[in-house]
Amino acid sequence: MLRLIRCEFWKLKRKKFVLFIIGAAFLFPVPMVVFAKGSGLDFNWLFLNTGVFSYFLLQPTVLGILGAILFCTERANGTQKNIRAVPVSPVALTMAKVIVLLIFSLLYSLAENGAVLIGGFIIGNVEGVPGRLCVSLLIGLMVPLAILPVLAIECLGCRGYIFSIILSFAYASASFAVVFAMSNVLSPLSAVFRWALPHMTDGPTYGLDDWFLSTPACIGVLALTAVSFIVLTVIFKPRQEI
Amino acid sequence: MDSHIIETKHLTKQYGLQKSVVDLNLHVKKGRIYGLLGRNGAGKTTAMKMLLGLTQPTAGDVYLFGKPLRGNEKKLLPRIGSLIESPGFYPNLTATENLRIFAALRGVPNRHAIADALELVGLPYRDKKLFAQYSLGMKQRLAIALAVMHDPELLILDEPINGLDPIGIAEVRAFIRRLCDVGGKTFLISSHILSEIALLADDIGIIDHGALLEEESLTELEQKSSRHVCFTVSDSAQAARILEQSFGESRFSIEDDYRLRLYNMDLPVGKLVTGFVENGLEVSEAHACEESLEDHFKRITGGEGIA
Repeated sequence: MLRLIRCEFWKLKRKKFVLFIIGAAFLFPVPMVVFAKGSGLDFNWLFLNTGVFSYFLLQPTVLGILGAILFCTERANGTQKNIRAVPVSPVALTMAKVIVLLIFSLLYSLAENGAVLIGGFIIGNVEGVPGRLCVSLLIGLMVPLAILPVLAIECLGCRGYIFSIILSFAYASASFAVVFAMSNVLSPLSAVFRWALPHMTDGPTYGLDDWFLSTPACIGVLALTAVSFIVLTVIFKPRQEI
Repeated sequence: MDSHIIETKHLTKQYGLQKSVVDLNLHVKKGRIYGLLGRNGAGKTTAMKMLLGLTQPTAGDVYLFGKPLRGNEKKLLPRIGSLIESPGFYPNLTATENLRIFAALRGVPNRHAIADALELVGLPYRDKKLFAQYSLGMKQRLAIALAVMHDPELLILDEPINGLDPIGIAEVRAFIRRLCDVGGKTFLISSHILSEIALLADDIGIIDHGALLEEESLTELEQKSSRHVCFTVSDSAQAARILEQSFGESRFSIEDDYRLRLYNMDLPVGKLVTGFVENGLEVSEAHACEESLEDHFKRITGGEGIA
């Protein structure tokens, strides 16, 4: 598996989108810092508001696009036949690609956290760094699992990059809207969102404790998503003919 | 079966109502070059994909190195190098970087394997040129390098000379011959170019509309397509018996109930006709024929398309 993961990283060499992922982590912190500085808002506000957009709108979209790059590259470049003839198990290859996404997600979270930290120093107050870093990394672990439905469609369907970009953005936007509407409609991504919100702020929860998702419930949703993804991959991936 | 590196039994592939490969029984012997000849769309690539487990057969079995492919993929496939359809590589990587990925996946122990493979096909090692910038001929060379990099016992190459210039074709032909004669490798090569197969293959299989029409050695085929005497008689089986018993001749083939081909041009035709007539046969035609390999292929595939 380590060999497969290393190969997946080699395949991304010279792909500019990989650099964009890390750059994207700075997209929301920059305007938020400017706004917080001008309005005299504190670090807690900055971390929460940057995180909401950065982790739950941008990160799933960016990871979805990276997923399309990873999952569609074999079909797009005709390398699938070379890999299957090695032979490499299509299930193992899929899992290696998911692990690469997980690693990029953690890097994104770290970069985003670093950007917010720098912003915190600019606005003048930084507090609770270890706790916030832990939350960021946990979100970084959970978001790739939460976008597994999108990855399943990319992995088994592979309908091209444009479709994947639209699909990733639609899934992230829909989950984002569901959470902002305080709806009880649950998607894996909205489950992570509803789990993460109370952990991202020191402020009041405005009586929403029952609406927030507990850690076991969130883990349960993600575990169910992961198991479904694995079952679908194991059943359908080896049947795909070249 | 032991001497057969590849053997297929009634291999069939059907897509919907269309049969791409029909009841294919291939026999590729160890240390030989087998040329699978057929027109475009004859089923060559589909057959090769089934040999590599890339496509599942609708019916029939594949045996590689004497063992069934199904259930033994992990043991058998590493012993094979392949080039199927167009060369498939990552466009954002160089030739060396591309081969490094597959060397890592295959667990190739030889540290010089990549450099050696690239040298063999005449591509530079650690060149900065990306695969996306390669010409079709260079891409084809790289695909051949990938096929030979892990020193496989069997090479399955689908149209390996596609896109190569005449010198490149001669080079590839020479190194395939060398790998077979010196290295003891077995090759299964597909092509729609008869002259190429005739120059390279030891054994030839002719495939058309998914079915294997003929499977013989090049020598046998050349004999079949060489000069011969065509007889049209009232009973070709009886004529065959007369040839064997009265003239001690075995170099003939029965075409159908009435037609027979004699490959020994030294026997006097007049004497043969008399012999047939004396034994109660009617002889309606006896003439010398000459058929080139190309004519032979056209005849058995029923038309143009392989030249």
